[in-house]
Amino acid sequence: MIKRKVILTGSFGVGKTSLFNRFVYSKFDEKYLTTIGVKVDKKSMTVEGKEVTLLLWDIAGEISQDKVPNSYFLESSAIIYVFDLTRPSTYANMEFDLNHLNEKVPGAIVKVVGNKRDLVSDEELQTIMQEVHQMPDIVTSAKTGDNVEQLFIDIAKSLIVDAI
Amino acid sequence: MTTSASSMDGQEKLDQLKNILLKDEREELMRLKKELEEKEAKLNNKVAPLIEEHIEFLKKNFPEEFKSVVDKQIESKIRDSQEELIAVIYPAMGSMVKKYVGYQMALLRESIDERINKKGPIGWFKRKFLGVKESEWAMSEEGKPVIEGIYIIEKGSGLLISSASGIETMDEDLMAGMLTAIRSFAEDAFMKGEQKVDTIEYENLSIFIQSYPTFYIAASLSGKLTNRDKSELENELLDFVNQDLNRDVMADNESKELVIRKKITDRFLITPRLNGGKTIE
Repeated sequence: MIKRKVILTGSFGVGKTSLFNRFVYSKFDEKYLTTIGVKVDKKSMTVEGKEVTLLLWDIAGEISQDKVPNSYFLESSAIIYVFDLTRPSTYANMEFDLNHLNEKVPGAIVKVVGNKRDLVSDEELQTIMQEVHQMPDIVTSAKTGDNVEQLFIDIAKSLIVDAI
Repeated sequence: MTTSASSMDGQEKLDQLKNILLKDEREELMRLKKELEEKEAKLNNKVAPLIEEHIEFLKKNFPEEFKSVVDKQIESKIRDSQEELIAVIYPAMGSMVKKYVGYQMALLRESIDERINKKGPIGWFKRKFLGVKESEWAMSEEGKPVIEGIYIIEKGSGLLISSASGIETMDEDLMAGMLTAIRSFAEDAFMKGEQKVDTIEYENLSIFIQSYPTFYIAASLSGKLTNRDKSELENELLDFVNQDLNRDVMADNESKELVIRKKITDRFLITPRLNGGKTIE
């Protein structure tokens, strides 16, 4: 069995927690996010015949700010960086944020996720893709559930490869 | 056009006629209204101070004037709603009492421990000759916290390596993650340098944490920990790490979780037959 810590991060209001809630049954109250700035959830799945357990750390607050304890990022195997397709301010600092994350957690698998796909048309999506620093690995909608499961399967597959 | 103009003429004439005929009545009405307003103002001037005075009196003398009435009302309300009141108060009171007793027991045991430690190295000798009563000694031993679960958690990631618990708990992976997060938060927010959180207490529950190079052990206990308890548990855990968590056991990724769980159960928890924890030795 492969058990790994995965960080979920991104600007306020991009839908991180909604992505989580689509994927796992949350045991802890959302109040933990506002009190200690993190909430841990768990998802176990079988991918390519292997049992993979993801311990998902939903981290509140801006990555670039020093307010998030560094220890929250320690020993993470993967990072999900979420931005909101409808709000340019949430991907304006993507380059800085990704560099910052690479420094904090060197070697971790990073997945860039454009969320709220349901709120943009195909044409708008094309325009956004030209504006972002890095093309998202996957485009999701926490509202409709589109690609959410796939995102976590992709991460599990990457972790399996990483474990070999 | 002609019909409309003549209709307007008719309306004007009717209004003029009303003015002429009702002039006296309108004047009388205005006079009465004015008279009424003047009398109302005079009455207000006389009554308002009296009301103010009475309100002030009530503010000052309410307890004396109405105490018996209010007391009777409260008494009857309590009598009629005893069950509801108990249902509301009991859990809070029970929890407070339990917490208070636990705290006082820990203080008492702490003070007995201090006296014992001051007086010499051998327990029997201390009890027999140095003034520590048997009852005090027994109390010190009796009120010890009970180990309910042991969790071995990877440092940094917060991933659970293995655990065993004598009581039913929530998902242990999640517990390990949140415990690591809470510990990290407390250390980042309140501690400086190399200081580490070693105990988390909530009401009558304690979580004792010991760090080792690559992992930490969290022991959950019911009851308050004294310094002697902490010291004993620290020694016990170190002994466990040295004896049972050797390199071979920790390196075996396939079976280490189960192997360590058995070792924890054997060493720290009572057999499943009794389904509970055991006190610190």
